[in-house]
Amino acid sequence: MNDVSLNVKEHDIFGIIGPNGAGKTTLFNIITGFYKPDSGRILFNGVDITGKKPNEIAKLGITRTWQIVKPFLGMTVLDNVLVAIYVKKGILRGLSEHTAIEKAEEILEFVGLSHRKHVLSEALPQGERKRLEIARALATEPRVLMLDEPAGGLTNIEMDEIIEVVKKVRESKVTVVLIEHNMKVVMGLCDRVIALNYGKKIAEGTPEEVAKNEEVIKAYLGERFYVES
Amino acid sequence: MFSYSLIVEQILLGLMNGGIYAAVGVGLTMIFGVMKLSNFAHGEFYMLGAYFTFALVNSLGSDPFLMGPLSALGVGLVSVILNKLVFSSLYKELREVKGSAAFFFQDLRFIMLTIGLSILLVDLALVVWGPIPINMSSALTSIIIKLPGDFSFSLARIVTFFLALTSLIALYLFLKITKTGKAIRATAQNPAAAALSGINTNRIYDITMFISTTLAALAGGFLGAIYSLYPTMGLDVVVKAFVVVIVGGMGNLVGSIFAGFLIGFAEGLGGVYFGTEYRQVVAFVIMILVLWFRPKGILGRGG
Amino acid sequence: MLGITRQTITKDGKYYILLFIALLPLPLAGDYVTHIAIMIMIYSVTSASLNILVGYTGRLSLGHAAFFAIGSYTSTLLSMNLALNPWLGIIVGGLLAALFGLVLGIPSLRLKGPYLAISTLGFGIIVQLLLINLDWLTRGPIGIPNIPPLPGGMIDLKIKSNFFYVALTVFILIIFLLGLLIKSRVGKILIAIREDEDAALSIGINVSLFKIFAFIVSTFFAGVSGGLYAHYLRYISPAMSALSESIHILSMTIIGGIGTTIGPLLGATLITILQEVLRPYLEYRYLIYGSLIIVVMKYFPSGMHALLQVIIKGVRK
Repeated sequence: MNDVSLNVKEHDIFGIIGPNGAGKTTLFNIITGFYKPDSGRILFNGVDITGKKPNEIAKLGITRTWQIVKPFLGMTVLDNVLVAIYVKKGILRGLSEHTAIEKAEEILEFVGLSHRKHVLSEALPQGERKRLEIARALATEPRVLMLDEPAGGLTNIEMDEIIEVVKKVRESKVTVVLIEHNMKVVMGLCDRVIALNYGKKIAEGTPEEVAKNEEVIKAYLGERFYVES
Repeated sequence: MFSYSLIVEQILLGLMNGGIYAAVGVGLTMIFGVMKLSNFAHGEFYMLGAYFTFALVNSLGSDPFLMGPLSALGVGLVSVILNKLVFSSLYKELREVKGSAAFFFQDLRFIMLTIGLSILLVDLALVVWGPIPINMSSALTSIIIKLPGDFSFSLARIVTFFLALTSLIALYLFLKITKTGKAIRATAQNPAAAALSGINTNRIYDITMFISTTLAALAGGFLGAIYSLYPTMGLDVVVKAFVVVIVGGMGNLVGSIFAGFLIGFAEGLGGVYFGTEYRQVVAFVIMILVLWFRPKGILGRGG
Repeated sequence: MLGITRQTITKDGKYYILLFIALLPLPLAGDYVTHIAIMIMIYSVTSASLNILVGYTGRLSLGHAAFFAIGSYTSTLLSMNLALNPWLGIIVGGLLAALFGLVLGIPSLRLKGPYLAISTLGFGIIVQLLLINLDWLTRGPIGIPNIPPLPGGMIDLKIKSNFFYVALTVFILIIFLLGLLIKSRVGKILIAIREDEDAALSIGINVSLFKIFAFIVSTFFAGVSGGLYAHYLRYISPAMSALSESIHILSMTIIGGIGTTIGPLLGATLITILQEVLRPYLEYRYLIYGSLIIVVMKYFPSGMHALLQVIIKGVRK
């Protein structure tokens, strides 16, 4: 990562694109505390979160999902979400079990997984696993939801389902930052986009602006293919 | 306080032990690097090497240093058979596992399996040869070599040390230069890619197992001549071997060699200053230090 | 509270009460059977405690016998040298074991897999070395005989059948408690950590804190079982902290079935009975024991409880 800075507007859907190895997931990992930056600071709402542990950052309101989904395989769909609610709302005091389950069911309804409540998450197909991961993240009541390639490896139908869910998330006043390869998703969802290559920012703007950007096209297709227009 | 010569003698002894630790540890680290298996039965192959040598020496009336390599090959063969019978189907299962919990359970399963094997082999030795320590005599143990500085060691120790060193160097070169060696390293780094590029991973596993256990058995055969044989001798060694592996970095061959000698050296020194009861602790202290400051091993990871 | 509903408590409670009642008449089978049953119950607690760490949090420990021994020695020494009531001694033994659990748990937080395993193994060996060599405190390798029994007021707890009821009550209580722990919110968090540490972190779980919690709970109950052992058998020695004992406990947990409540109980029962049945075969004992472990791990990796479920399903048909 080399001198990358982003400003994300609240309630936006913000996209991060770039060829493989550009450093997108690395950026995620740094922001959410899984990697330590060598220099620079990360400010979240004016609070310096550089060097904080991932769980602390999650408690401050940034929750992420994973490029290769990481459900709690040995637990049911409901439990996956419930655990997140327990962590958010308190283990000892806080919600009664009844209320916690209600909340979890609400969230599952939101992402369209109510019918799979008691299924072991291990048994879910990719698309449903991705939605489960979003549900689990939402249970932490984040201010910013960071999605790492939410549409990765999905069929067209599953992709449409995910797009719908992300739109609903934005409607519920959660800011979304996503990494995505799939241009259809980026164009359809994002308000603003930033492009990375070799760990540096090479473009920023609306999806249309960035898609037409010279550097971006070069990065994706390689110098040789860029034809002066 | 302590005489200079005592310290040097202990250090030299320690280094010689270190050669053995390295030889056993190297096999263990190879098995971990290639098969991702923590083989808790490794010490038992060391032990079987010793006992097989004894059996051969008894029936053929020869010298342990001559029979040692032969019995080591025998043990190596046994280990390959065991590998095929017991472990081979499991390697595939381990590779195909998804999720860290499932991987943990498979790993646990493997470890428990090798523990069961260890228990079985120790008892086998007990039943066949009895619990009483056996002394295996060798012509070389009675030949004392006097080194400058008034140190004397039996030829057996010196030969063992150099044989261990030679084997380790030979192994290093084998892995670096030969085609099979490269195949082994490739499998260690990325089994899926190795399989795709035409390497017969099952054969590689067998070869790795064979080399590792033969080395350990060789060490056992020679050490048996110098010290004595008892059924649980493998258990004492395997713990040391694991420490060597961790200090050297799991899967790192050169690291284990270095670590083996380091620990041998430190034990020699520690034995002088802290007394023999606490010699065991020296190895663990080093391990704790390494885990704290350089958790990937002194030299970092490798194949 | 803690996410355990009244429902769960009463539902599980029923099973445990049933088990309690079912085992009540056991002493009628004679002193020998009673003794085996007591040992099974003590080891069940040890095995269940290891299960919390290994089965539910996913942290492999090869040094659990050390905590068992710490509990034993603490309770023994306190009751013999300071005339502390053994009931309290057992609790203090558990607490001291938990303290040592903290000592081991904190530095080992970032260790994984074989590194963690060997570190715990090393800890066990160091504890054994200390127990052997600090003989001014521990009386060294000869061990400590004539440990005071648990005081039972009017009831003589040196009599096996009397002790049985004490052990049974304690056993049922502890297993019930541990079962509740697993079903509680804390339990689910531990399972989440086992399933995927990174994902757990990303939803705000303080993984380090819970790992330590698991260590402390696990080692506390290991220490308690050690204390019970000491005041029952009334003789202890450093051999109880040996690597072979740790492996013994681990095999009970794994063969029974990790990650289940019944697993450790099944494992403890099977292996303790096996040891007794094989006693006359002296040296061949471990050939069979080793083979059993190999066979179970190769063909029934989820442990006996999975096998049992298969049998029950078969019977139902």
